Amino acid sequence: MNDHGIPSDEQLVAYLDDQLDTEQRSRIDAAIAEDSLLNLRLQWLARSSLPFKDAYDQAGRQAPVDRLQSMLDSLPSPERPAMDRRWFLAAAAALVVSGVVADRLFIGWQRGQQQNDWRALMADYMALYVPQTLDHLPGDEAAQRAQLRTLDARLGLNLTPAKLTLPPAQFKRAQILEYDGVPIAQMTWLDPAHGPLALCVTRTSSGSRTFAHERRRGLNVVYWADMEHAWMLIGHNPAAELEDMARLLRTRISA
Amino acid sequence: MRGIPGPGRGHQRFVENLRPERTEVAIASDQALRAELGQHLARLWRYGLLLSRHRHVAEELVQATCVRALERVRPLAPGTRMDCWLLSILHSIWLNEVRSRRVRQGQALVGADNALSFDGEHAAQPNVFATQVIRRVDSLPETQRECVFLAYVEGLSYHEVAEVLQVPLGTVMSRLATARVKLAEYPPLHAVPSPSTEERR
Repeated sequence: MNDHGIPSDEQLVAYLDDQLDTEQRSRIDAAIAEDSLLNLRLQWLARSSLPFKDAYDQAGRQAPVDRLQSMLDSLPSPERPAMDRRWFLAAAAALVVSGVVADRLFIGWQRGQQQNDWRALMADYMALYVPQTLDHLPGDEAAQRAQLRTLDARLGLNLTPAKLTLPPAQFKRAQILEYDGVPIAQMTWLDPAHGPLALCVTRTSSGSRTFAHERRRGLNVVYWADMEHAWMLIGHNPAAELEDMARLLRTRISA
Repeated sequence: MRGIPGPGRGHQRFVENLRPERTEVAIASDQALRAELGQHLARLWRYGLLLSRHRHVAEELVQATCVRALERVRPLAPGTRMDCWLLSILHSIWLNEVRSRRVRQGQALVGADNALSFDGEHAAQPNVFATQVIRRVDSLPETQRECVFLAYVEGLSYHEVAEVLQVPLGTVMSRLATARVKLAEYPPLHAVPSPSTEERR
């Protein structure tokens, strides 16, 4: 009620909407009984009570439910077994101990935004991988397809499991990582001889470049770029073997 | 070395930022959540359309809402209504991400490309009343429109509307009152012979 004890429009609307408690309600009932103008105001406001629900229920039938449902079905499951989490926490704990490494990553990444130091960041990440990080992951092609679609959407790619076969290494998982809002896709394989292997990609506009080699944190890296993306293949495989794989992947992916 | 931040900060950022987008959720609850989400798709789309007035944006909003919902690690607090929770996610994505992005990109938010209508490609036979109601609601400003929708279409209590929109209860009340005053100014529905005459504005 306002200063004069006359219910406001807010209160009258709440009255109409049955959102008042018993005491507030009876106060408004009393006020209406006394004041015919107030009663008229209430009736005026009540004109706005339209069949809203019915109208929008009808409209809701136009929803593209089938398309939305298949979108929902295609969203990858957030399956991250407990093993993986323990590993990640252990890795995080290790980084607390070597805080310098983490800071270097941070600074490195800041500088690397314009340069190619995203590779340093990914190398630091991949250095934490062991075969057990990957070997429990199921080789379910449907799930992998869904994972790849997420990558496609974020990075403007067109990936399929067929383009990513690298026998004898087994394709394990594709996931999106992000650092300061910059998406980085990481596709991982488990090589029976050399352990975890990853293809990483991020967007770039620095122009294409051919294969180059480097070593980071004890891992071999082959990196290259096309007009829109920078790529790196990283693993414990010998550099020449890694380049052969990179060549194969580049051909298939650009096809 | 160049001005290194304190030892903890870089690490913190690393852990926060360089992580898989999805964290662990029990598979069983993931499936249950998916089934539940499937039940709400049309309602979410309808709300997305009410906010954005564009069908493709509505679909984008539903997808982003599903992604966000599936990422949730912990179960909802007991007593939380699933539909309210999803509506609040969609609203926050609209407010904080999609709408601001579209404004930045200079994309018009008015002049709906193909907002709710019952004509043309859509098979459902037009219900004259429904079309009129939707036109009237659509003519309200966004903040009033969403309150009307959540309270009168979704049937949420004022408290629930306030929670979904993250605004005080008094704000919900005043928006609804303002909207009601405007809606009351229209002639009664049955007095309008055809939606194609008076109300095309």
